Amino acid sequence: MTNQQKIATIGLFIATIAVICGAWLLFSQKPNSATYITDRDTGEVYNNKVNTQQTGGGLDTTSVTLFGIQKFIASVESSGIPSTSFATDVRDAITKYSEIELKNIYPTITLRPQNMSVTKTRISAELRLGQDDKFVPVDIRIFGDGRGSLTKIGGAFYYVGGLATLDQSLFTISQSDFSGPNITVDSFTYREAALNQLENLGYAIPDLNIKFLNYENPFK
Amino acid sequence: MKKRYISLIIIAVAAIAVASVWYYISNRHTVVFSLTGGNYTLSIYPEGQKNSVATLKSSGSVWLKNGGYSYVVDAGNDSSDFNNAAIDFTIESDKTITVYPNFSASHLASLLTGSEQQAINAALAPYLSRVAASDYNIQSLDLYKRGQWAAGKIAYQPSTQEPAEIYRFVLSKNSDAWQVVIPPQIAIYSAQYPSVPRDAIDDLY
Repeated sequence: MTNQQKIATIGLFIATIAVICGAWLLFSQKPNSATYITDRDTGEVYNNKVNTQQTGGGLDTTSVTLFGIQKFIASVESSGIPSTSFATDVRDAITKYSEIELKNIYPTITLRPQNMSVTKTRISAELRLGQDDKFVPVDIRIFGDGRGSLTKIGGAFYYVGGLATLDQSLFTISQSDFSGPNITVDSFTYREAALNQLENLGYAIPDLNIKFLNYENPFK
Repeated sequence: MKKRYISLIIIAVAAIAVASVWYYISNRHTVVFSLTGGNYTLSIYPEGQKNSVATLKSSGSVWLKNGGYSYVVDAGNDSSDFNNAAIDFTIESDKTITVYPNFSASHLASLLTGSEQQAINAALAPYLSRVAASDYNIQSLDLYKRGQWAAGKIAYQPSTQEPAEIYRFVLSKNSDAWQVVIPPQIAIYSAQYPSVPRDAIDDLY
């Protein structure tokens, strides 16, 4: 056997060992990656098997794990917005979005603390779908000192939160369906003012399915 | 031994060259533009750039790198007839884009002649006749797309004690006859009328 043949044989042996080790590592790590999810944006860890080992805001639901909620609440509260019910509305909005729009195909959704803009009336942020580079913008309008909100995710998904508490002097705007754009306006005098109120929140009227109570269209 | 090294280097260079060509080709796709609805030139711009990468005077295909683009219609002397707003599109695979430019706002306004307004009013008559003529007036009326859509607002004020309420409506023209698609109503939910151009509804608010 020449020196070159010896080197080739040793090289082949090392390559075989490397392939075997690589395959072993690949398959031996798979169960771990399915059990533990470390979020790329928040560093929160979600443990599928032992929920009590969550270290951050990873929130267990039956369908999707939400990350970033705790950091979101902290950002909101530091801006002076009472977040108790409002944060629940936003969390519900993302869960509904996952169920209705995404059919729960992503096991995790992160409300990213990066690039989050928070004012007293508006929050702009983005969602990371799964742990890949798939992002969807989120636009949240806040009104009634945090008692109500409209969450827009992506281009067409709306979630109305807390509108039932939005009382004006001449009308009440309420949500009749918590999982969609359905809104009821109970108007005593001027319905156009209710539309203006909704428009002032920054949302287009044609995106909302508005039903007026105690009203009959004179043209129909 | 030296020959072997040279062979290896040649093979490596050839592999890199093949990979580069494959990368170049796989990141480009053929886009067929079907130019319909008049005589015009189509200019194609990469996203965020002012210089066009291609100009078409008739239907044809362009080989474009993956990414975002926009096209703009230019009808030369008749440019006022067409809406020359940029239309965005994305290239990720081979595709066919049918271009059918809308008319410009000024051209649409010129199409809204007295007889056209009368035809629209006649189509609305069954709804308008349900209230007293003195209680309403048509506040606005505009045409959309190529003049086959009309949208407008009615100010309804049965009592001077209260402010007027605004009712919105949309019609479409089929076989030279106007038909009411969205009867007068205060709030239009666009998802309920997927065939109606969204810009026509948006302009009513």
